[in-house]
Amino acid sequence: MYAARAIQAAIFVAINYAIFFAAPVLLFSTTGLITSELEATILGYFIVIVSLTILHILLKDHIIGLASSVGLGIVQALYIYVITKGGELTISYSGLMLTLNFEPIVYLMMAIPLVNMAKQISEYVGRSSAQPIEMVEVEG
Amino acid sequence: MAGVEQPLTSKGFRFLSIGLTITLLLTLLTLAYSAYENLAYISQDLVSGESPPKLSINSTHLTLSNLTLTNRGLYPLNIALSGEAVLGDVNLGSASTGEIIIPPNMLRRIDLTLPLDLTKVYTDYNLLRTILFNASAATFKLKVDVGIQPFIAASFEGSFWSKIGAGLDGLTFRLRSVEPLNDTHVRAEIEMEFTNRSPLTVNGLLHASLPSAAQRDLRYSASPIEVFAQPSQQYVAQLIFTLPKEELRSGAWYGLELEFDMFGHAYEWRAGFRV
Repeated sequence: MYAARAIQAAIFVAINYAIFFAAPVLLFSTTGLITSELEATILGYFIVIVSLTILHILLKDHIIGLASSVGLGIVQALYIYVITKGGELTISYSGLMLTLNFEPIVYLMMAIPLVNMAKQISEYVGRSSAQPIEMVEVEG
Repeated sequence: MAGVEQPLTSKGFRFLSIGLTITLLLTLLTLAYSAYENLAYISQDLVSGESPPKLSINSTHLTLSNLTLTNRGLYPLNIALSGEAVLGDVNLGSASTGEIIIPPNMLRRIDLTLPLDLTKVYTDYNLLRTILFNASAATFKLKVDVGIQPFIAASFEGSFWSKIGAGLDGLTFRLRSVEPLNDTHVRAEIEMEFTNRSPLTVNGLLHASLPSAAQRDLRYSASPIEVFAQPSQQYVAQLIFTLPKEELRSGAWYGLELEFDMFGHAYEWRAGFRV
């Protein structure tokens, strides 16, 4: 069981690397917005996201797994908000200033991990309350 | 052991999550397509279009005309242009087109006319002095707000400078003639010349006096000249002095004391000429 979960965790770590590290670093580097501070922030959030993802997948049935998935949802949403500066980015280039405002997209992006978090809570609550019923034959 | 069926709420959240992900992906794809189509064609139209936009500046207006935009994207495109002209710290004028919404596959022509109120410069002593005697630069700030409704709004801000020449550019004084009036006095005619290279009309009263070389605290005054020079005009006028014969010596330099009254401000300076 844990071997299968470890493989699943490895796949999710790779996906998280692409979404939460490689893509933002590439995007911010291309637009000239990357700073060492921002890179450190992205790396910090990425490490937390990866750790919580591994914990959540390995300990799915445990309360720690649920806590990890709740933390993961919050951290992912916070990460999206922090690195996009709330959906308002400013780029300056030789006297020209470009301000981009994309708040609706940021909120849409933040909604996905939060809905996933709610789904995990709902599943955990459902599993705890609905115990499987087995028919036991009683000898008379 | 029998399997546990997922509760209905969990299924709902799963569908919601999938729906949001699909919505986000579709939104990003369509936005990228719209942004690419619009940016590619707008830049192409601006650079090599049949009728590129024109920017013209004169003493009363700054005009950006013939800016034609076509929305080739999937979402309505909103655009607003605003401009401001500043000279020193004085705002000469500002204007905005207001928000213009271009529906998909529609074309709009945009013009922006910025009125320039140069009379505001007349109220600022230091700025007017700078414009009269030195070349300066006017700053034009342009802001373009563009957005793909309702998802993305972008704002471009830039500024450019336009050189403004001095109002009294190349101001020189030359002794044109000295004619005897009687046994003791002469009539000296000093020519004043300058070119008004500023967009302002130079209009004021020039008082000129010549300190005596022989006697301290004595000044000879010329009749004041009413100066009126339109932009780009070369102005020539004569200052007439009545002087004792012994005051003018050939080869000597003389210092004129000048006072220029213009719009309630008096500007004083000294200028030399050679006899």
